[in-house]
Parts: sequence; structure tokens; C-alpha cells
Amino acid sequence: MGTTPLHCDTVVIGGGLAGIVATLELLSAGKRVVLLDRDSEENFGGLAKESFGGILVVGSDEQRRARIRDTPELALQDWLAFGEFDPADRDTWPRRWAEAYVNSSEGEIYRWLKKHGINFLPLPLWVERGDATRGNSVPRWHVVWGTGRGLMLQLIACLHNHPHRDLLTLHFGMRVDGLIENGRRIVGCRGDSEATNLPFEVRADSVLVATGGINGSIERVRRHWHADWRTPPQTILNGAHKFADGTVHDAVQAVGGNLTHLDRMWNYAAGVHHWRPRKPEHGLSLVPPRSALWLNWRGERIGPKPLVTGFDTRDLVTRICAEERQYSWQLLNRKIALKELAISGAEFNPSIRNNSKLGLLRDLIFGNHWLL
Amino acid sequence: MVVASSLPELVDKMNGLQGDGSVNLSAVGEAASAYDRQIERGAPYDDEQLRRIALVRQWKGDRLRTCKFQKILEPKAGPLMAIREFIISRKSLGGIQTDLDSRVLDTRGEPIAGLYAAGEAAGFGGGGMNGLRGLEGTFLGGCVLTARRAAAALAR
Repeated sequence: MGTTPLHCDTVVIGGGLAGIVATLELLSAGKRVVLLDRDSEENFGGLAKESFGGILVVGSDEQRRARIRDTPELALQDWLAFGEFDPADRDTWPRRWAEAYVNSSEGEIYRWLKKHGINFLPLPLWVERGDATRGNSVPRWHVVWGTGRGLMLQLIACLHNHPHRDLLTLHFGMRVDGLIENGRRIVGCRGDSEATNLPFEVRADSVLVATGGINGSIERVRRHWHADWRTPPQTILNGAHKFADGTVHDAVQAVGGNLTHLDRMWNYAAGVHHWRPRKPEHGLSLVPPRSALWLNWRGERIGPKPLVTGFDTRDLVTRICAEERQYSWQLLNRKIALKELAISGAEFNPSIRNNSKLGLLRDLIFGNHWLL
Repeated sequence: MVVASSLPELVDKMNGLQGDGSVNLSAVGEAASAYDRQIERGAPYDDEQLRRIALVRQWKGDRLRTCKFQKILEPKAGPLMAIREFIISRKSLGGIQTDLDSRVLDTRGEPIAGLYAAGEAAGFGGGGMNGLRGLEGTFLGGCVLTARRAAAALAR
């Protein structure tokens, strides 16, 4: 980076979906931006680039075409129930953001993405229908054509083609570990190059932290393990981004920032080891086949209420963690596997990833032969 | 994952995979036969899993990807398979507390001048917008919304 510290209007820390979206908008507003990412340029796009690419939208064209009647009021009721919000407590920041989301998803998220060249599969899917608590009352999970990989590649293309591209400086391989204060104002950030460990500094009028979660550090996951899940299992696979390790959370806390609800996590119950691991305990999340029998470590069917995916993902984790050995088996056969077995994420859904409509149709009718 | 043409062979392989003899053949056999018997008897189903399969098959998006009451031990549907599954870490639902402009708040609830947070780092908004569970799709969506709100505040 050189010895002269960079200066700009905003330094964005993290090149995932949030960092890239913010940068696009800041460039449109004529702001000078330095975007720092810890990973190499080929991995630009963060965890979102590896995701399946589903987005919750209330009031989409796809819902209307499928004659799904959805409203922000209905979505909010589902959200508050499923998230176990205290209905009497209306003044928390999570509650305010939940309301903002359901009221703005169509205008601020869905329309904006479409304007940037993102399209969705015609049929919204119905996930997290709710079990002990109420979940989604209607299908409102919209899958991006091209998966999360397509989403990020398209937005990155928008970035490189932005009319104000000259206002943006991109730096890869940069690990931020501290924020720079001037009195009580944050005026920049500092860190080291991942490759060379040479220090760097960026000075700015404002800093935007978009560095992902803490779930990439299994040590932190264990430290913040929720009480509902008893003690952390012996094996916890890593399905998060290896750089989402809480380094910048610590930096924010060091300047007085408030960290909340770190014990709340969206972990999955059906992880398997990746056969080409890129990080320690690298795991893949399977979409657990609905027609498979879910058994505990002894081969007994977990019950009395059987585990079935699509209703309450968190509850699957809770029920498995309640067993003496905190892992499980799914029992199925070839016919079930062909129809239902899938790996969640962009890597393994070639038809959607390659925008192949015929390929997707073929897979749905004839089965996932390519996976088996 | 282990594959076998008979249940005893499958259970042997399951035990081979996980290192001791904990997987009990009669438990697995009973689970599978009881389930298959329910399917044989037909609707209405006593089994909650079969009722849920019936329910999800009512939505066309799910029907394409859900078998129609498939027996486990049906020979023509074989071979049998068993997958060992672990808890896998994925997303943080909590994080840096932010206001609706994505400004980072201190422990007294006051914004810290010059500091913003968006995406998963901010718990997708407010340090935990989803509460205890996410409805799914609010993570990518939350990244877009919190980022746009941050940029809008910075552009003002």
C-alpha cells in the first residue's frame, strides 16, 4: 500500500454483500471510498458468494403471480413470533429494524436488486413454516437466479462499471484489527497485510464495518454457545467464512461499541465434512431430506415428534444437542436421495449457478444424478 | 455417508464409520419398519413426519422436491444410505448494535461519531434484527438494507 496513509470520505471494511452494496451507493453519491478486504481478489464477495441466494421479500411480483397474499403486517407478526420477541417491548433496535425490513423489503431491497440486474426464480419457496412457534405464513423466500455467486458477481460487475469507479480504491489481503480515534470520533482504521504483515493505516471521515459475523471462529462459537443448546458438541463444523472471526468486533468494542446477542446463531443440524477442505473442520450444510428418517447416535428415531426440515431450523439443532452424543444420522435410500438430497449453497447447484433453466428443470424431474 | 443393500450391512458400516457399536440394529430396523407400515396403511397418517410431508407437498415449489410417501425399506428404491450429520456453524444473529442509520451505538445507546456497521457484523441490523430465529432470506436481505441505510446516512 505504500508509506503514505490513504485518506478518503469513507473506508469500508469488508467486501461482502453489505460492503459492496454500501460502496455502490456511496460512489453514486460522489463519495471517495477505500474498500479493504482481508481475502484475495478471487474470493471477492464474502460468504454471500457461497450462499444459495434466497432473499425474504414481502410483496414481490413473483408472489403476486403465484397469487400469494402477503403484507408487511403479516410478515411482522410472523417475524416477531418466530424470533421470540417480547410483544410488549417495542423500543429495542432489533424490533425497529424488523419493522423497517418488512416495510421496506419490496422498495429498498427487491427493486434495488432488480435495478442492478438481479433476477429471481419464478416461484417463491416456503421455508421456516414454524413448529412450536409460528413461522412464515406464506412463501416469501425468493431465490436468485445464479445463486449467491451470481448475485455477487453481478454486483461486483456493477462496481467495476460504476460511472464513479475512479472514486474507489480497492485493497485486498488487508486485515484490519484496530480503529483510529481522534477524541471521541472515529477517523480511520489500521491493520496488517495478510501476506506480508506490513502495517497500514487508512484515514477517513467515516468508517463502515462490514466484516461479517463471528461464526468463522469455532472457538468464539463455543464461547458464546446458547444455553438452549446445552454444552457445545465435540464436533462443530465450520460453514462460515474463515475470516469472519470477530477481529473487528473486538476493535469496535475497544472504542466503546456495544455488542449484543452474540449467543444467537443460525447454525445448521445437517453438516458433513467437506471432501476438499479449505479451512479446519470445513463443513457443508446438507438440505436434510424430508423423507429420510432422522435418527440419534444410537439409531433410534428422534422423537416423540420426528425431526423434519423446513419448519424450525433452530429447533433441529436444539433437539440434537439434547441427545447424549450431539450428532445424528439420516436414514434414506437411493430414490429419496435422487429427489431430495441437496447441498445448500452455490458450489453445488450447477443448474441454478449457471443460469441453466433447462438444467434446473431436468434436475427437478429426473433427479440429482450429478450429486450422487 | 454409507451405502448398503441390507439393513444389517448398513448398520455395520454406520458403526464402522463412527467407531464403536452404538448404532443398534433393532432400533434402526424398528424405526424403518414402523414408518413403512404407516405408509402402507395409508392416509390419514398418525405419524407427524408423514403429515408434514403431505403438508409441504401442497405447495408446488416443494412438491417437486419431496417424495410421495416413500418407504425406506422398499427394495426397488435401494440401496439404503445413512448420512452422519454434525452441527455446523453458519451465521451470527447478534453483533454490533446499530440505529436505523446503521450508526454504531455505545453501551449507553449513543452513536459513536464516524462509525457505522452493516450486514452480519451488525447482527443484520440493530445488533440482532432476527431475534432468536430467522425466517430465512433476511440475511442477504439484511445486508442490502443495512448497507443502503448506512450509505444514505453518510451521503446526507
